[in-house]
Amino acid sequence: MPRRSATRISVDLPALSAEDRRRYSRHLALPQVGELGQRRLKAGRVLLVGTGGLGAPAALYLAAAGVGTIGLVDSDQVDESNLQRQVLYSSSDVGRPKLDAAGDRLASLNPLVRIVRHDAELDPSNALSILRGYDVVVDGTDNFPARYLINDACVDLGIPDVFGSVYRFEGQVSVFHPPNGPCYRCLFPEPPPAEAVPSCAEGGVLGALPGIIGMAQAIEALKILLGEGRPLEGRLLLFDALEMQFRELTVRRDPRCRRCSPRHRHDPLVAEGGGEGGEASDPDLEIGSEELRRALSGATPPLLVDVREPEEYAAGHLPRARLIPLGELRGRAGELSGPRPVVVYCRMGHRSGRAARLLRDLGLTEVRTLSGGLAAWEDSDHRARRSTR
Amino acid sequence: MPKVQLELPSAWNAGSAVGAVLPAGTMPIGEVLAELGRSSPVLRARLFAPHGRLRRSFAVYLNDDDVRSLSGESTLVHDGDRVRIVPSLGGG
Ligand SMILES: [Zn+2]
Repeated sequence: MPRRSATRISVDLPALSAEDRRRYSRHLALPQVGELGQRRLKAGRVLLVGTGGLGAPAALYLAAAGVGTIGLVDSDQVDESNLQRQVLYSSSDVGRPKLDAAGDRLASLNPLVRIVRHDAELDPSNALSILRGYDVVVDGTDNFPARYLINDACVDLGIPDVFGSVYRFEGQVSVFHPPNGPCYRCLFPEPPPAEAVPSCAEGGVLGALPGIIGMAQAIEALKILLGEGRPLEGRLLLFDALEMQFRELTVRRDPRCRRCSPRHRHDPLVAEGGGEGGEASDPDLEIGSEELRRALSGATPPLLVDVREPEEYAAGHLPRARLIPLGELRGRAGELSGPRPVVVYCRMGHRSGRAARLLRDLGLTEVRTLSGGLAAWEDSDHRARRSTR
Repeated sequence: MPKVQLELPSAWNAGSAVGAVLPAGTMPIGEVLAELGRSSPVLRARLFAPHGRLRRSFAVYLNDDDVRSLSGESTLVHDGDRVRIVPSLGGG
């Protein structure tokens, strides 16, 4: 990754005031920051999603460093149990909205930076409008649906996602910014099953641990704004506090990624894993194209059921697939009881996801939905042919 | 002496006994994981979805490479290799 050219002097970077020069003198002394770099930071806009264990130290250091605009997304209030690690807040803040307490603290730390408060919980309907316009997003959330949503929105908008996460004594940091590197879904295509995910509230977290991870995120955000150094793209940094050990793993882009591959970049945002309303995808019900292809040539090939409308089916369907439109499925589920496992599919995998859940709820145990639908199937078909040429 | 060095996420509470369950010799990583699943129902549920599909909520590294960038579940594991399961952490 070449350094972004230091000659990218732009006339629209804000000038430094005498106050800026005094306050940021230790930055101005660094050749990699200097006057130009500090002006870049002053022009920089960083959004912190979550102002908890990770967001708190990140916010403090980014404000101190002179990042001109810092957005905060949080709808929580300060709880006494936060104070063990969320160093942005004081005992007197307990019960206050985090945005108010954080805003006051950051303003007193550095009145030269602008704090933008987004009093919201990120969801598929507001994510793009909140993230749009920021140069960098720092993911300091505490749950998987938010992490996938941040990733998906960042990929859509082309914004680097500075990822950090912690649990008990361990932490992870990376920067997801395709096409330069992988996205979060390239590394972890699906969230873990809900029952396997104790939160920090249940499992615990060592107080200073999110500090070290959140500060690593702040450093990555500063490097991105400055265009200096080697960003943590394509690398996952693992931290083990008990061993006091950092390790690094290479993370590659998944050409079939359901978010950052070209055909999926701008797919509509969805709530992932544990989202409300039962519409979230259920990884246990899904079958991938490759796996289905293997199953179809195996000893007990599954029964394929196309749940689209008859005219879609007529325009082309998988060999030997039976047509049962989603609307008729409940009434005709009896046709599918038998020893053969069932795989339902549609164009994109949304309708068949509903179909699979419906059939499961009706008592069918061997039912799965083709992940990504016919679109993904055709995609993998093309790839398979190309690779055998 | 375990032939293959195995690292499981500490959050899985799998203990340290797992290194010993691996038979010696070369085998595909899919079989290594299946063997691991047979050693404990808890591990099985962590590793595999109800229909037996390997979950995609963690990454499996063989030495320094994600096995998805090698040959996936058919990637061969040899004596002396290190298999590491990298979990997805959600906390913040
Ligand atoms: Zn991706």
